[in-house]
Amino acid sequence: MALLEIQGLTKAFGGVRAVDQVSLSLEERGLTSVIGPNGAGKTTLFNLITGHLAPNDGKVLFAGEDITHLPSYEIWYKGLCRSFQITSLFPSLTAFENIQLVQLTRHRKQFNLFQRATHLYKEETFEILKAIELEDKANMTVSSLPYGDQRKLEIGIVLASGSKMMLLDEPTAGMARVERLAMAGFIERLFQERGLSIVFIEHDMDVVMSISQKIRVMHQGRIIAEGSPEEIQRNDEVKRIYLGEQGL
Amino acid sequence: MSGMSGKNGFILLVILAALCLLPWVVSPMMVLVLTEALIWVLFAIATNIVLGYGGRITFGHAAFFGAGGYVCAVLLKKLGAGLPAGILCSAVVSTILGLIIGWFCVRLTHVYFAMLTMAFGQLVWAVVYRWRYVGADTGIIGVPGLTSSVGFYFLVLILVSISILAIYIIVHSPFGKVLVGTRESEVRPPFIGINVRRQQLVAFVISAFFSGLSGSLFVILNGIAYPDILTWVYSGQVLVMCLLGGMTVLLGPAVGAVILILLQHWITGYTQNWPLVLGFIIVLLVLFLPNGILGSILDRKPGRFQLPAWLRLPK
Repeated sequence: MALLEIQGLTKAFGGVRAVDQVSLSLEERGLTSVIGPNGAGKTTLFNLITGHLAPNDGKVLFAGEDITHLPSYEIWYKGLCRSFQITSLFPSLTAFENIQLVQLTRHRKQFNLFQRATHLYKEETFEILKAIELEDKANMTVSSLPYGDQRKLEIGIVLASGSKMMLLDEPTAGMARVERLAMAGFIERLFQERGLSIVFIEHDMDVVMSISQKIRVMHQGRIIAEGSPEEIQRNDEVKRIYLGEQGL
Repeated sequence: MSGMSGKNGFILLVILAALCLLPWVVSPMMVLVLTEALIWVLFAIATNIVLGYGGRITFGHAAFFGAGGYVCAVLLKKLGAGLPAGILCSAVVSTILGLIIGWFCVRLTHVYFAMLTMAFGQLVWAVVYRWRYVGADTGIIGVPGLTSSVGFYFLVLILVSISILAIYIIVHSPFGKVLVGTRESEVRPPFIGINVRRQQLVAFVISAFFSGLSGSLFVILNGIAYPDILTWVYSGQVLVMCLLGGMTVLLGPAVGAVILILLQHWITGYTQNWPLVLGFIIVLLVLFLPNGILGSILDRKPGRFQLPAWLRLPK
């Protein structure tokens, strides 16, 4: 059975169908990607899956359970976590505190009023900081971290969530090409070391081809192709609407 | 944020010792002023749970302060209850009021939150202002309870100290950390399992409890509960205290409260134009000390405990 199953998901903004009758199913364990030109509906799709937006139509099933109308925080507890294209961290907290916050909610401590939080889950938090190569900067506030480190912390928050499936919304957003490839390698390494289930959005073809096991191509709110990187490279429609634009 | 250990703990002990000795050093009049300052210290720190830690501008906290005061006045004057019962019931009723008002307000943020808290505050005021049983526009006069001013000073000192210790523990608990998380990011919290509204509601209710407690002490001190203590003027005054002392530090609002009350006492001795002076203080504060007095002293590390962008002043 598929871990994440989407059936006929639709979302319209005014007259524009940002996501149009999208159906797909994602297995456990896998590094897959969703690609497509700007405005294809990739982020909207993530927003619908994670409860950030309510769909006009369709269903989202996670581990066999209907999560379509659950609030985002409950979906997170079901084991589905996401990152953001626009860095969404806790700016005046330190890198350590950002990750620790996730540990606190993961252990359902948010209404514990009397325990001292300062040193709670220190080990777990440093384990994550180590994985994202930020242990040396644990005590730096997010707002003073370089952009690349902030992007890693985005991933760190998702890692700390310990979710069954991770949706990464353009983890390489705003990076130079070399950095993009480095980030892709970093995600692939995490995937291999930890046996995670990752879906990521990307519009850079090189990044996608280098690490994805399976690619889905979105265009004007629809999934127009699905397959291995080689299959996608050979697909005529994809070439026309997407690859053609980049001259590949 | 500085802990209560080592050097800081020592400083706090010295302050506490000084506060214990003061009644024998200063004039009897000054003891009353200091008692009032301590009461405002608690009200300001309580308000700052929502303002500084929750990142929501509340313009209606006088509703809880005043409600606590009125409940205490009714119990002591009309029902002949004892002091402990009066104080405890005030805090409990304010907590319930906080739950009701908070349930609506936590659905909003930013200026809408401020407007709704203010609207509810004025609503409570409007009801009390017309309510004959509680003295309508004159209020409840001759509330008993203040037998010895030094004795009451110590009662207030003990209650305020215990309350601050409790708030200190709360803001450093996992609850407090997650609350700060809801202040720090508007987008992220739901995606790490935080129910923002519930987190904010609990903060609001805790804040209302301590505000009600301080309100009851205020009414006992003055021997009168009048409708003014429910108005947004009082809500505004407590906001100024938080800003003046610094809302990014636990004891910031305490510093603001003490300075404002002492200044008010001193200046009203010379002139009737206290509001004018207050106006100047606010202008200077906003322009030159946006992090408040204690906030500027303690938070020198750049980037640390900055206000969220929408609360910060444009450069």
